[in-house]
Amino acid sequence: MVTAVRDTGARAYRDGTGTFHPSARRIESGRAIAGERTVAVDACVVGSGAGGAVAARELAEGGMRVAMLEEGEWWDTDDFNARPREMVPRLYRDGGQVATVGTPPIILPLGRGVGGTTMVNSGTCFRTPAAVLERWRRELGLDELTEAELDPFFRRVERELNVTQVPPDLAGRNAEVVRRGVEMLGWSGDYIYRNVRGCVGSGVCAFGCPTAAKQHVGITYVPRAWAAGATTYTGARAHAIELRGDRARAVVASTTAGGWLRVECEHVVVACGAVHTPLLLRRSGVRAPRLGRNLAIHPATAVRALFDEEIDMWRGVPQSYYVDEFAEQGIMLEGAAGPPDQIAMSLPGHGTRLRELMLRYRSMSQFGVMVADSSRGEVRSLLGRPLIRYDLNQRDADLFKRGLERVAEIYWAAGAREVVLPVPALPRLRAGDSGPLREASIRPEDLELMAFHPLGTAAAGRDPRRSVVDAKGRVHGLEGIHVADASALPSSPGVNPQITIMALSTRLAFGLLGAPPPSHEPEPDHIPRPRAGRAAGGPRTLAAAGGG
Amino acid sequence: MKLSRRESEVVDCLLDAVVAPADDLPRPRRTDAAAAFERMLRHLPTLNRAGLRCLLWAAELGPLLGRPRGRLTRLTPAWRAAYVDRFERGPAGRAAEGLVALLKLAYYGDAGVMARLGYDPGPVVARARALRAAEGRW
Repeated sequence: MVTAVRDTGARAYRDGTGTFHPSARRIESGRAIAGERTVAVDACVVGSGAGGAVAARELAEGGMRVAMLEEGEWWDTDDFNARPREMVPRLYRDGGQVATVGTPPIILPLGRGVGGTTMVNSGTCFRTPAAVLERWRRELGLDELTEAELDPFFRRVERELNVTQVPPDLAGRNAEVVRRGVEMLGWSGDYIYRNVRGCVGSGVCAFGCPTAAKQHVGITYVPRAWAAGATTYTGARAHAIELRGDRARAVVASTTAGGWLRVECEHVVVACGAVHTPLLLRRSGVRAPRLGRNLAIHPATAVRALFDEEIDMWRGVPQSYYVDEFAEQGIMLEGAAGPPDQIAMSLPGHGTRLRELMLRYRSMSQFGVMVADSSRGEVRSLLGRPLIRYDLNQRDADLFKRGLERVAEIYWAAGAREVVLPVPALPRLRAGDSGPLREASIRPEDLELMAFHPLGTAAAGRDPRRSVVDAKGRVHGLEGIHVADASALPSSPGVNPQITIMALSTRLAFGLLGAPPPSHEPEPDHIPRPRAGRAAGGPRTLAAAGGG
Repeated sequence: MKLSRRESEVVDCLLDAVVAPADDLPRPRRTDAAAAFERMLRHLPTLNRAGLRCLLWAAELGPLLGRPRGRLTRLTPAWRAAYVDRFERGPAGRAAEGLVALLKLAYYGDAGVMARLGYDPGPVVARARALRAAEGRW
């Protein structure tokens, strides 16, 4: 029964009131745990990002005693200074230097701290496209994961995070020029739905929102979990899950102070992300053949364009507009604006060429191309650290080429003077001529890429021989161990996955509590349905790619 | 972790080559880029940090194998720039690109450089603080 309709318009986007504050911040720092400590709870949640924070809150509110382990620290909003150069080393794992090994090497910017990557992402919210769910059902036997089944869980997440649409006047000039080009071409695009409350367009979502407008899970779900009695242990790195027979018994973690924390529990919810979850499970004795394999990363790159008008990319919401005209082919285009240091870091070239571009920063636009990859990689441990192996295949390189061509078309239609490609070997495009790009043969090694959505390394599926967890997130063959992060997604949803992860985590928690779906949650007055999905996740069959 | 004097000299030379200051952009030595680069290194895992220091030495000694022959820090600015081109295309190419990306971030994140390009984070943070105080946000 739907009891209400929730406003997703400009008023709800701008309203910054109503922040929830618990009576106490239940954080215990690993800096203060130098010896050995044992705590006993019902559920231990490893990780406090999109999957972990959500599971912790739901389980705690459902009556379980919950401990959350987080390797990073708690960051106060006062720590966020709107300067990417200062924030990247603090908020990103390994100082922002996590990278794949392969062709080409690809940087994976992952958040580290309470809130995980939600603290440093762009706040874009899309439900899992229906076509992707259908494919998971058809090819992997995930019959339970239908739109109707997931709807109440999505509604709950969207209400909690206030998922609302960016108003045009906060979208920034970067979005405006792209929207202008898209409308000239008659293509499909719209302003993005985001998890915000009272956004004023500070322009630095990826470096810690200084207004606390972005509703990352560290300031939404985690405080609710505290209010329900959960405790977050920061500076606590999970080493292994102890088993008794085939049942989880405890999680053992090392602390920043050099101590050990042992959390005895009946349920373990693993949510360390697609890079670390498979390593923790392997250290704990999980031997599923597909564990750590099937890594998809949803690779991305960016095109820049120079205009005669001022853009000032730092004004407005950096990722405020999307173009889904080619999403059925696996190509999603999304805004990628930012302050000058962020842009300089990712611009190709150096010296005079870089300087000349940067001096035109105020009239520069940048837009991203994301590809739902059919390439697959794997994560394994080397000397105690993750080794992320991933080679982009030619099919995905071809999709990137197509995406770059489409963004160039948009920019020409919008009146750009020059277009700068993320392919160092290609010249800058001028005078509306995309010929050099069109005629080029682009190999994977020619591209400069990043990837923001690693997933699939503990993929869900019905067949234990070809998957790691079942449709409810339970590790096959073991009792009490569950996965609630992106590693359980069998393939790229073709859109930003954060609320897919959160909805599945909510469902997992309700399942553990034996509670019925939250059908009372209000219906949003609009749900964006991008065309993504039919080809998303690319390989001819997911099972063949190792996803099932 | 602190860079040695020689490593710091290499960083200064690389910054000059990467940034090629002119047209109102300050020389790297007049910014806090080198100090920021060193701070960034401190946050990296030991292995990455060691790798980047090796790259600094590779950049310094690499020109000994080419023409004109000499350490990076002894080359003229024009030859340094030409060498950084070769460095990025050489066997350590992608790693070298990573090093260069950090140097770009270090330089363009300087407050004076950002202001020159129109960005001042001060008012952004001040507005944010006022909003948070007024509305009881986190």
